Amino acid sequence: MKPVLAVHKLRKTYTRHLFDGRKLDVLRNIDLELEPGTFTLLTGPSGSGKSSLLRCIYRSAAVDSGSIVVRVNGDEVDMLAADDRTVLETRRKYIGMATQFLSVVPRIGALDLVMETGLVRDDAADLLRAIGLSEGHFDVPPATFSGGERQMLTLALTLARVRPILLLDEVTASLDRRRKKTAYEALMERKKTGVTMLAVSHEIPDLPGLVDRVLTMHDGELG
Amino acid sequence: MKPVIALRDVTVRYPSGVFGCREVSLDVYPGEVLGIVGESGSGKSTVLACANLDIAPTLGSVEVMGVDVTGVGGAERRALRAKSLGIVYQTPQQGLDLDVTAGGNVAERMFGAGHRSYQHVRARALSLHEAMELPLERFDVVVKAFSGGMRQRVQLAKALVTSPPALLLDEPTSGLDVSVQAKTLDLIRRIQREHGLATVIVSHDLAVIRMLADRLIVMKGGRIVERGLTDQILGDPQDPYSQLLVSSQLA
Repeated sequence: MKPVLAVHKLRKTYTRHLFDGRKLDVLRNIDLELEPGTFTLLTGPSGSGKSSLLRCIYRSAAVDSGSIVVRVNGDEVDMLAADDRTVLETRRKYIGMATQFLSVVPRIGALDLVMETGLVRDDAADLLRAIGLSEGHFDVPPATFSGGERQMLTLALTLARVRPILLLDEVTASLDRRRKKTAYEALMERKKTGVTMLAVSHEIPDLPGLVDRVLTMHDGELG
Repeated sequence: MKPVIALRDVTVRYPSGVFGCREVSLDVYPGEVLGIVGESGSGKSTVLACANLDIAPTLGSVEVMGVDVTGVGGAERRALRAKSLGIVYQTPQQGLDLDVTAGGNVAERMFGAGHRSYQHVRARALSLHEAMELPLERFDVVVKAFSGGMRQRVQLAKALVTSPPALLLDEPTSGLDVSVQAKTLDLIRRIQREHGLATVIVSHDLAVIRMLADRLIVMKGGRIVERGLTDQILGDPQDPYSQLLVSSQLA
């Protein structure tokens, strides 16, 4: 089967113009292919380039050279050649990204935020419950949420939008043990529907059948 | 699909000899929000004024709905604005007559667009007044007596009363206190989505830009120094000035 995501010879450098133009090689010659419906876990030391790779794929970071191709339903998008509007369209249709940090409109309650993705109230509430957010938080804007609660909402927002590819950047890092398990189960449900996932994490989910492959990054290279 | 507004290599040179902007090209499509950031004097407002046909470019062209409208004036410009462009200025007195009632300000734009039935104009203005979450009893009150947040809502009502496909926002919330700012931004975001408005927002507040803009242009010294997806420019700026701007504001 053709990969839904193919990364080839990807290079990325950060140039810090405010610090004498200092250059930082964050990704060197990354090759990565994701088969449909698989879950790939990306681990490695902090600063090894894991999040940068996810951000380059999502194109929320710029790339020096290489290629990133998304193939879904016979549609093929070269993410680096595509113009900005095509990238936005490709994200809307095919790629979801969840990061450690929640960035949403401050005044809207958690349930309403999930409903904004297009879910009806009951489904949105079911999803928040499945992720493990307590019902007392549903009508509260996330500004006052704890780190873990924000993370639950981030995950719920990501899962609320049905996308064939999900990029997950440490989405369970600040959850307690029980909620981590709940989150993994929610991801497993998506995997069963054929969603392809690339997840950055420092720990391997202990849910049988979820993780298909573990890759380790070291100093900008994929081992 | 055609852009609702397009600027092609627009240069503005003021009579004083000062350049307002140089070789600026941009386009904004239905349903999307284009942000423009940059320091004071970078040309942001000049670009917006060109898009609103307030200023004719010295060089280059302006297209609205795919039609070249560079340099139009008079009745043609008034009609074009009323049909296609709504604008909200930073200061209400730029966009409103403060001695006129909220309803009167909004109605004036409809009369300007050629509507003649008083009943129809009043009903339509009233419905916008309500949609902008303004208190009904304020409809016949002069805008001078309104708070800053309410004045901006009147500007929004006026901008949208003729259902234009484009909305131009020049620092729409920067004079407001934080809670009113958040409320106003929620409203702008909601109506932008509901009506699929092609929107250009000029702001120096990157939090506002992050919340609203899909794509972003960074200006310095009248020129565009970087353009791209908002999350990419705010998260991984490439140009030295963009890096300075982002690090100054998020530090």
